[in-house]
Amino acid sequence: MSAAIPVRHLVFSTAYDPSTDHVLDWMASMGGQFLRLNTNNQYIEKEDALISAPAPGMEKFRSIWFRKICGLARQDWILGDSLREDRKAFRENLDFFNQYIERERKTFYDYFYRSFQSERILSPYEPIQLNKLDVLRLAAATGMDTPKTLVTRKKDVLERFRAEIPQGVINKSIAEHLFFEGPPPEKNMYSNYTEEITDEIIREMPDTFDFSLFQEKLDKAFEARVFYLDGACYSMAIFSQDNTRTSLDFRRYDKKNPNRLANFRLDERQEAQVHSLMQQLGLNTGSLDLVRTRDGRMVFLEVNPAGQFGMVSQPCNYHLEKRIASFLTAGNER
Amino acid sequence: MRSDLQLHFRLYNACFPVKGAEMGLICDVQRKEAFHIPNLLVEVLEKAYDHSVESIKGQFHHQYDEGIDAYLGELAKLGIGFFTSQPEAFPAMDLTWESPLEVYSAILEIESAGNYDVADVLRQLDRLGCAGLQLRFLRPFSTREIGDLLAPTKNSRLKFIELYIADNGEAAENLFRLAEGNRRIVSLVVHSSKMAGLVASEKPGEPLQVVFTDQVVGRGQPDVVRPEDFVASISIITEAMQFNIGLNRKISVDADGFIRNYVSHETGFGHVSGVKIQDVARSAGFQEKWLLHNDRIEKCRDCQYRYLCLSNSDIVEEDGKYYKKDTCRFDPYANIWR
Ligand code: SF4
Repeated sequence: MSAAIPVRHLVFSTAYDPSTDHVLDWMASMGGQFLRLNTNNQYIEKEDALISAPAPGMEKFRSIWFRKICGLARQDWILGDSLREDRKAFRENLDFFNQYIERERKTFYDYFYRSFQSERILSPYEPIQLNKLDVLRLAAATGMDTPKTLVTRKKDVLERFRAEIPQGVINKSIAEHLFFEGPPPEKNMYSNYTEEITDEIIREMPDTFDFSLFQEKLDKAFEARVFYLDGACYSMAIFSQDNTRTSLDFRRYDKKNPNRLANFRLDERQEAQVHSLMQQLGLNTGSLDLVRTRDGRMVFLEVNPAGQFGMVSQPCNYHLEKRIASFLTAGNER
Repeated sequence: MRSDLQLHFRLYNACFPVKGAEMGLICDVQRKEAFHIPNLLVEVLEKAYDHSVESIKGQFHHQYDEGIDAYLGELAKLGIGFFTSQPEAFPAMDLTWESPLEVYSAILEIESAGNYDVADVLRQLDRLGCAGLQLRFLRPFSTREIGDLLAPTKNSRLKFIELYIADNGEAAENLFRLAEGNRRIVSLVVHSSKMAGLVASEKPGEPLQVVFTDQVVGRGQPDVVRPEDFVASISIITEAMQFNIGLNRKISVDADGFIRNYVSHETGFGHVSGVKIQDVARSAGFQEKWLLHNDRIEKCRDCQYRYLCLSNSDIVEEDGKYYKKDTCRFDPYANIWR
């Protein structure tokens, strides 16, 4: 390919993502020319010929936004139907083979995405895989209030932890939550969620179990979602405590009685801590979860590097889509 | 009730108080509810971002202390608002409305294929980034013809298409197939039909439906303002505070190919064969009515529904005052629909 490519901004997203559409509308109105690559189904639509062989000297983009990178979807699993031999052995180890395929793809895509260069990258591709335990410790070191947390395999260690925390303990995933779909025709959605671990549950637990994370239960006044963008915090309070079904985990949505929202502001010191944490993590954007307790603590829970800004932007009228577009098109005029 | 001197009251984000001539309203755009409240309470709520509850009571010379306590307590109980002793943590929402799109949506009347070049209009709208399209087929067109006319929309920036089709005697199945081939089609209405009812697509996972109605969609069909059609979102309410939401960034092309703010309006802005839609959309003359929002129009300015009402009526000026040409049935001074 020798012809000059008249593209200045590169956006990785998925098809039919309204948040991306909205940001791109703003970029267009600011005169930004962009190339949008949809990563659904693990292949790059349309423009793959243009970029499938990233080489030294390829075009540098004015900016790159890693909005969304799709993982291997269940329907993309290799089922071994086309195998002539040893189909049975393959089928019985489907998970194993597909994990292998996933690693193959990931290694290639890590290389592939990293090869796109720009001075201005929003949510850099690399640090997107955060270790939640690292983040929690870093947050504490930054001076943020973090919940007492234990990872253990032993019941007696859990019991001692529980004895120190009168308000109770909860259990949640060490890494990401799990979502999967049950078999047809019902196709129920399953997911794990944060659950209180009562003394009764502990009593029934075996002496040893697999690594599990336990955390002090917080007496929540409300949750705060902070969208961080290039040094600024855009915060929203989420009031869910009134409703027992959502009191532990925001993920169990309640449609009839939705959580109430309000524009929110962290105090100056807390905002400075968020900024410092994000800098140490190498993130220029992300979404942070915090909890305000009834006794006035502001407790940090986690950072989601690919935070959904739409769910903060619309209810709080923060115009984040426009702010993201401004960030990406800065330097648009050569 | 509460005695904390520093206690402030906040409405949740989705709840907007609006004053009317007779009655005030709280629009809850999240639960999609609106309910009436006394205008005095609207005044209290308007002061709440800057003043503590006690200070607001003082501003009313402590005449309404009990009423204020009772109403605010009730709003908190209903989940409309909350008390806080940390007012600085809950700043007011910025109410500005902005859009990156020069033209948000367009209505095209199509009576016969030869009146104007529909494909060219669609291409022009795409270049403007137009998000929504409503096509009103005033006479029966076959689904094939409609599909051909829609061809230019396939790779466009359009986000949604609504079709109003004069009954052509074909089965709903044909329309489903049309929509399958064009994912932007979100709404299908067959008008001037002998039957009335709704046919839903039987394909699993497909939320499509065709609505059949005996109503006729004719030239310059005016919309009727009905409370059941009110829609609300933060975006709509904030837009309505600055713009006429029935007309802002909307383009209509009537059956003869003339550009108007809305198909029923008198003023035309040229024929699509002679002027570019972009030039019209950018002209001050065309945008004039975009800026005439309900707060600037007699009667509507006193109506508690003024930030929900999508009326796209033409607007006339008399002695420096603006009036809607199609009057609605609501009387804000008596607070009744007539
Ligand atoms: S008075 Fe105006 S704002 Fe109120 S319902 Fe009628 S047209 Fe709409």
